[in-house]
Amino acid sequence: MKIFGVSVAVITILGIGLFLSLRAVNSNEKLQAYSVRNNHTYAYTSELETFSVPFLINDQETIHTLEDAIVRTTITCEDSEMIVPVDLETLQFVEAVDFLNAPFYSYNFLFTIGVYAEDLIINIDRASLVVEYLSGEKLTLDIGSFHYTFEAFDSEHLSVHTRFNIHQHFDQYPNSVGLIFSLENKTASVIEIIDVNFNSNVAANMAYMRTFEGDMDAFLTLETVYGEAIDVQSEKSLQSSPIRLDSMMTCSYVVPFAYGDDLFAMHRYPIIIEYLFNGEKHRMVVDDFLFIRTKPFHVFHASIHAEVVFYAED
Amino acid sequence: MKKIVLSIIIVFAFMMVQSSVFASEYLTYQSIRFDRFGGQLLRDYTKSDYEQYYDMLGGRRFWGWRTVTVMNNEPVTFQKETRYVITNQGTSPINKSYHFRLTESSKVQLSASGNIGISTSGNVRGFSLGLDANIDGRISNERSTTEEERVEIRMKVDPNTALKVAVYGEGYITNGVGKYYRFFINARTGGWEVFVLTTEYFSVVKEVIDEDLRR
Repeated sequence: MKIFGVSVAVITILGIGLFLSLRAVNSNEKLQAYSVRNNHTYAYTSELETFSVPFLINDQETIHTLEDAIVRTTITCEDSEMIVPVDLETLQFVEAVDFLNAPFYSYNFLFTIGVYAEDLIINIDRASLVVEYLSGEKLTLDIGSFHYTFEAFDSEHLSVHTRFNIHQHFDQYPNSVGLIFSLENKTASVIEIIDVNFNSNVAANMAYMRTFEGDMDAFLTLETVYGEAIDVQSEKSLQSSPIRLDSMMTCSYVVPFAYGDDLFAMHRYPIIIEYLFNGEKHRMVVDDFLFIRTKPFHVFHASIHAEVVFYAED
Repeated sequence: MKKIVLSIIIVFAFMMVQSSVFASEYLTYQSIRFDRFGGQLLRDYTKSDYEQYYDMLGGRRFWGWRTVTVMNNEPVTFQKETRYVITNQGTSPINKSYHFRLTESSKVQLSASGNIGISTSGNVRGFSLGLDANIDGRISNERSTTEEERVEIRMKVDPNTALKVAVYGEGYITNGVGKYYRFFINARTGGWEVFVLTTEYFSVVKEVIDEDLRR
């Protein structure tokens, strides 16, 4: 009986020792995370509105996946001259995924904006999300660009009716490449549209903006609409003359996007229309809308996914 | 001895009872279209298709599944229901914000025919008797839990106008047939299908309400 008792004790001690040594090995393993470089661009609607920042990590048993371990979250620019507080609503576990042939766990930070100021416009071309933990550790994720406008929405002159996004796949990753929208001139005068933008690094390629006639469909392509391929990685070109919208008329327009070099995803965006009414310049902000919702880590895209490599602290 | 034999027969008879056909939300979409010509949903298998695919299964086995994959991660596009966010039947414009919560709990959807069953454990659904492990490793890794995002749209909706959100999307279909054996006896037979939703596309449409339809 004594021998049995001693054996059990030895086996238990060995088991605990093995468990602790394995834990020690695990804690030194390389942690690997990926973020998504998006063109984040939002228009303030209410303090309840959220936006999401997805990220991927190869270990669920770290503080980086614990909402309660997070003490502060901010969005900063490269030189830290602008620090925007964002309030973490929740950290959601989404799913286990295979990414680049390795097992990962997909999470989603859900934020509300932590500041409010009338007519403020925030523009950060190279933005990072900085997550600070109770332990003092900081996780910095490259999230692309971050833009937020607090401008008022209403226009007494114009009304936007329909919004259809045109998308295209880049290595299987869907991204917005154009917009079809219909505008109503509610006034007794002609309105001249001089610019369309998204308060983003992505521009509307105004030289190609034209009226659109035909059925709107979520699977329309730029090539179908224009009858030729349009390079969305070009620089923005200006229109030769303003587009006229006659009094009390409703007209549909199509405009392709100009991304320049960076093809960061833009799945949700507002529309800002600048126009002339009776010779005066006006600006209309159309609230942002989510046009594409995709699995951000369904496939790897070199220019969209940013890797973060760090080591777990002992 | 008689009782033992009778019990075994009852147990096997119970196992052989046809279970109901399980179907998922994606089968209610307005349309599902394969990118590749010749794509086929499980619901479109004809009797002769089943016979042809069963012939490809091979011989009986002592225990476990024999499966054949007919469509393997075939890309599809679909059109879902149109969500009516608001209809203004009043006489003055409504100018406010509307929000809809996007929740995800079913990016991977399953359906089955014959007596192949679907089991649910918490948020995770899977085919019964471990069929998942026999068809495609990728499928079992893509069980989603919950993800929620609150999207607000601030828009003016004029009288006699409806604000609608149209939903389109993309995904992959994997389907096939299978037979499950116990002691060389065929216990389950049927078709299985996995739909993986990868992307949804949303559009906003404001339309004048058709007065004739309202009457």
